[in-house]
Amino acid sequence: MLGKSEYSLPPSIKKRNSRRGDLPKKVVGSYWKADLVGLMPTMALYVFLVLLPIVIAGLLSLYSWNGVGSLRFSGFANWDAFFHDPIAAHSLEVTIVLALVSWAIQTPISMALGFFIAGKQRYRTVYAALYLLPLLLSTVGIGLVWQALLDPNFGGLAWLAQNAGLSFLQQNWLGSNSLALWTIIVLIAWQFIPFHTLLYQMGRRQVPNVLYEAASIDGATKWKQFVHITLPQLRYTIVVSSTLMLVGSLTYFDMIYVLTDGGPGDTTRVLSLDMYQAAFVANTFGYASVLAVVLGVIGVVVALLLVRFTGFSSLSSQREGIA
Amino acid sequence: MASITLEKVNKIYASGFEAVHEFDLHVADGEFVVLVGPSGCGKTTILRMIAGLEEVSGGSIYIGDRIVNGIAPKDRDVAMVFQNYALYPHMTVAGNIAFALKLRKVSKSEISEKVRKVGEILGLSQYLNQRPRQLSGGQRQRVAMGRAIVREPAVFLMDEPLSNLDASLRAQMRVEVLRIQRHLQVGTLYVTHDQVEAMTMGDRVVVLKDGHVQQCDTPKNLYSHPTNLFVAAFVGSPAMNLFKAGISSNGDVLDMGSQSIRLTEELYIMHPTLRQYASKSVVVGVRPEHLLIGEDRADRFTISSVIGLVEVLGSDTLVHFSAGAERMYIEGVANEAATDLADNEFNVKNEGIARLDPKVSVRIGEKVTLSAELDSIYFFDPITGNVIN
Repeated sequence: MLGKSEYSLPPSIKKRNSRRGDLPKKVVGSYWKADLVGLMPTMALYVFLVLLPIVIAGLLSLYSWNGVGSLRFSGFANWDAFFHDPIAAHSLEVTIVLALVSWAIQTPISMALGFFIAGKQRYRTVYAALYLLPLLLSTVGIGLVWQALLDPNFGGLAWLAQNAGLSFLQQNWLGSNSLALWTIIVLIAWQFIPFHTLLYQMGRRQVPNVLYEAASIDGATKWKQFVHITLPQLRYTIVVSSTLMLVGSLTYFDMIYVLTDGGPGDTTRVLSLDMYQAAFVANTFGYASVLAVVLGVIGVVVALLLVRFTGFSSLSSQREGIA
Repeated sequence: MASITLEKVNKIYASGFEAVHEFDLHVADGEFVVLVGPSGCGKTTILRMIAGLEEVSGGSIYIGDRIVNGIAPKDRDVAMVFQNYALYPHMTVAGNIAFALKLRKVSKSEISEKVRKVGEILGLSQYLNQRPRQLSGGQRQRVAMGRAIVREPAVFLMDEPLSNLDASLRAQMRVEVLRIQRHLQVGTLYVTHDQVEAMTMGDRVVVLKDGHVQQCDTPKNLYSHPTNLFVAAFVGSPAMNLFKAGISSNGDVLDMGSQSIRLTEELYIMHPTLRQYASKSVVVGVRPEHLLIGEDRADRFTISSVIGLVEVLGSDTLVHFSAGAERMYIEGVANEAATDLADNEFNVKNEGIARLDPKVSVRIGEKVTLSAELDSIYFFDPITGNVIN
């Protein structure tokens, strides 16, 4: 991306921006070496922790392996099994529903809360500190606490249902086929909205107030100001937040594992859970690798599409030209 | 198109700071009125109150016959040009200009026709599809103007619209803004801190200081009949020379530092109130452009002086001089005389400036007599600051 934008610069600017333009070749060479040495640690980490596992997962998907014995090449047998596996198809469906609904719920709420915190209301910082509490807690901790709260017999909601007359709260939140996935979606939202609230708050603060003043004089209602000023000005914030939300919920695992382990039945069985079970319960690492590759590919495609359709790649300034 | 009327408008901030005090103004339909004053004088606050961006603490604002105090900005039918333009960076030039029309649900064909026309008036036709960031400062300023004029609003409000431009472009845009306003005949309130802009553009100029109106008059009257020291010092460049002086008990002599100047009967005829200032202090004012070298005659006001600095501008020569008198400093007005240049070889502490013909040759350290016509001399009360007529 960076290389591309650099090539598109007119030569005159390129020369001016290059601090090496006037240096003799020998010196330039030594700079290169210094750069390379400086990049080494990061590159090494990237290769070993990101690239290598991807390559290994890709290779492993072509083998049959139980985790301890010897690897046995099986060609595309794992892939063939994946395309004929009704559980995997179902898991993929649950994953997609979870990702899309999470995005649809979290985005407007994070935006609204972010704008609120970015405003000038009294006690704003107190509210802000409260919203952000879930960010500080570990996912497993959150899962265990909510499991206790949602317990249909001894949980906090059940207590409210019995003692505060809120009988609609008496539900088997995590054990009912129709409720479990939605409960989990709400809990994930509860956990992640604070983070995205922070992003939107930051974005909203960056929008110059004078644009709203100009728009209000031009005749824009609050809603029109939101549509014509806030949304376009927050374009990159929306892209970043949406990418994190969508890609994040594709690989979401820990809270679901703690709360329902995919149940009841397969109603909350997301692909990452499927993958975990294929690897560490069924000991079919080859098949688990197929699922990992599928998840990885979906994640990359989603991210690329978002970037593509929103023009994020051009990285042009959203503020330049106001004044 | 409509007039703007402000009646006893106050602005007091929550901190208790009074930004605007009992401000009265009427801008007639088609009139161009300039609000001028040093920064913090309340001029922008007044503009923002008229636009509805700032609440009014007291008094009434009318646009036409309609009182607009509680009305939202969008319903006031005003157009505003901001100091930093506030263009919508994500919209094209055409989008910026058309935005207000789109919100008013004007038909597409009408919008494109109007945008085209405004583009033509402002010389923006070839930039209509570009984004603000691709434009130069001057072009952005035009887009901001275009956004205001396309709506054909009741009134224009302009908040230092030219202050971000360089000097030559500013001079050019000054003429252009005026041309557009004359063409559209829309009542305009224009805020600036630049007295040259105020003088050249306004039908009338309101001089403000600390939220109080100092004088509201035509540029010509502001220049020739300032009502107080602040206006006298603020209007004109270089600023009027103001010297502290005292009048003798018999009223015959003006003691101005080291020199005594005879007060003729003629001066008293021009300033009858001056008689009450016998054995009191006054401030004497004379504009740099009214001083001539030589002409030491009884019918002129003469000052003996030593030249401390010469600035050759080509069209004229600015001569900084010492008259052995004490200069009066006015808060909020830049003092152009090179007072602190007392370390030149002649140790001349400059208190005044004369704008002389470039043909006159003078040297630093030279002793000269500067003189002015009697009717170009002003007297002010040093305590109230008011002019003595």
